[in-house]
Amino acid sequence: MELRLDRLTKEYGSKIAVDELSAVMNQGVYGLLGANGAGKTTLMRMICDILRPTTGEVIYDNCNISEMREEYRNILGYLPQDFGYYPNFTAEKFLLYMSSLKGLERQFARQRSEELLELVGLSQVKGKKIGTFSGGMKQRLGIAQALLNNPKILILDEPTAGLDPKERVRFRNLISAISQNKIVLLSTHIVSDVEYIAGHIFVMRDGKIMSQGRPEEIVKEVEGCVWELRVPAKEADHYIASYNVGNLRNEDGMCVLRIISGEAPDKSALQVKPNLEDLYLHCFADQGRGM
Amino acid sequence: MQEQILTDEEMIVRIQQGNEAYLESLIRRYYDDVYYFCCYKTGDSELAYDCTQETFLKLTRYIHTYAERKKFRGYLFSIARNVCNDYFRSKPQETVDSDSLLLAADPKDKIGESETAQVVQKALAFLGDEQREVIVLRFYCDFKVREIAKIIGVPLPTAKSRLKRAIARLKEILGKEEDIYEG
Amino acid sequence: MKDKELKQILQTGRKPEIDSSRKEEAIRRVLAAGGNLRGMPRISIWQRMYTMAGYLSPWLWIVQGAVVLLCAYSLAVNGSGTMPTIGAIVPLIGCIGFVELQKGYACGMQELESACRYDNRQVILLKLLLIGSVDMLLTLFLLAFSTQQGVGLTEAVLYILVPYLLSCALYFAILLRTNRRVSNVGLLAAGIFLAVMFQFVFGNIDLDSWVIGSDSSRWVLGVTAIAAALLILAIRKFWKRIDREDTKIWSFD
Repeated sequence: MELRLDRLTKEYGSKIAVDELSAVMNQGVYGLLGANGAGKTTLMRMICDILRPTTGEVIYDNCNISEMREEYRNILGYLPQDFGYYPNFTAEKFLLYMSSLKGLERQFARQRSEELLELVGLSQVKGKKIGTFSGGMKQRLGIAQALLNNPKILILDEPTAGLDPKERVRFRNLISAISQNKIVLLSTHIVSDVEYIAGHIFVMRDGKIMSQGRPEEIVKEVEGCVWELRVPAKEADHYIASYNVGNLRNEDGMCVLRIISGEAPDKSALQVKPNLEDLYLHCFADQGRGM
Repeated sequence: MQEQILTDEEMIVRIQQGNEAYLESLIRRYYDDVYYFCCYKTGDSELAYDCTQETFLKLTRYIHTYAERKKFRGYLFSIARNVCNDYFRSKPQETVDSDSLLLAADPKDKIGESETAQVVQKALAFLGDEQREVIVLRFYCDFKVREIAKIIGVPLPTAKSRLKRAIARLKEILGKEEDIYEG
Repeated sequence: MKDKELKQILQTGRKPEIDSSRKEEAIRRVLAAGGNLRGMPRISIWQRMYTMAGYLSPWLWIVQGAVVLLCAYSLAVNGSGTMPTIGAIVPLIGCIGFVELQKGYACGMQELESACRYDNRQVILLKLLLIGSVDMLLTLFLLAFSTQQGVGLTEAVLYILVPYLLSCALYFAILLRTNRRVSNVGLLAAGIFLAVMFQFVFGNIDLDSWVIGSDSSRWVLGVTAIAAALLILAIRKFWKRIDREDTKIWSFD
């Protein structure tokens, strides 16, 4: 099972949303990190064959997906960033409708819908209209529909948007459980969503992949660049203005700043082990902090 | 998994929906039968393993386009037949001394069971490909003549006459004189 | 039985032995090589239409049916004099259908639907076939009913079929122009506007002298043909625009 992105480019007039992007994915969970405007959603839409690339190809098992068409969509599960729904549909009816579009036989679809509603914790509200659902409930329903046809390729665009921390943990566990024998690509601003479950991370900026690899490998890019500095509270603003500050916490009346910088911000700064969030902030320093 | 109560048709529906567990059940259901068929058809137990595996590989590739769900067993055996034919063509046919077989007028009475089995196997090997396969399908796999016609891809009268000739030939080889054919 | 006897002889001895480890290995290989694609059982378009019909809003049929029955009632009570009014109401039949047709876009479902095996294009196709067929049946029913009430066929075609075809062509044009982002209110407004327009045309222009003239049937045939051609053109353009490549709808990240 191999999904290959071969010099994918998407241009909208003079704007280049995705710029000659190449990557190879096999079975496993892949995280796509990037700020707004990085091109993540455009990339995902091209992978889902919803958007035609300006140039380049998406190839699944040596076959161009635009030639495979229905055969490719048959093994695809997609959760868009902002997805709509028919407000008068109940959760169950929505899943049955999506099942019919995915070509699932009715009996099987019923059974599968039940299972998935149970899996995402919506069994109790399956008879309620989607219009009455909270954001988190809608998101869980979206995840359920993406899994209906037991896809080989699962593309999730900001799947944790609208989920509270407990639901995000639940989601991570869910992805880990179902990701066997699949290619799962999920895009997020929230580093912790992918840090523990993704075996491979793509860091995307301005339509290009800036960095990719296993989390522990790519984090090495900022090794020696992450510092912890204890300063009085009144000095904190100076450092925040002058440096890329990843985190700030108060401790015993002092501010402890986590700074990403090539050089030590102060002689009292202690070098610390970097994490994925530090890398993210390092890559997107000029675009402000990620969400 | 409720494979005991699911018919072939029901399993195929589920397989075509992507429920791969039922594919395994279906393979297990028919593996032995297909192996025996390949054994009898090719006369080579080693070759039969390869043929059986290849049969199920082809099944896995084609099952999603299989529409005639009610006659699955026949469909499977037609795949097996084609696979055996492909393999068999590359193997030299065993030559059998038919005179020695004709002397054994009543193999069941005069020779022990294992010897009988060997004589039968040699007798089958002595038949032509086409005759051997109809004998195997009829007497080892218990297919009706109508089903055999479909498996081997010939009209019913052709299948009947081929079976009749095969039985007559087998009778001759095995030394039986009664008319044992009942179409 | 001789058949049985031969069978008995042929089956003398044990069946060939199967090495279970080789069997398991073969099964494992077969399942592994089963491929990373999934089968696609064929589902006929009729079956898909039937399934899709179950997901269309019942109000579509209820309201359309009510409008047609209202027209029929009006005809039955007031006779052929009510034809211009009916001609003004007919555009609303198509309007109701279009509200349902573009519901996927209005609700933001098109992205989800586009990634399914039977994608957004096919959803639209099924809806077009379903809604179009029913609409045509309703229109033909009105035509037949009106002729039964003593209205001439030419007159009936002019007042029923022509407004229906022209209004549908306009609705397609609106969907095209607005990239399928027109609201239900917008469509209804268009429907009402057409109703008013046809009311004006039928009420203020003396069509009787044209319709009842000697060349009336040819004239009406010509107008109907033009209306049908416009509708076909509109459908073609609409269909071509339902494509994955739609830069105006997709905003890039």
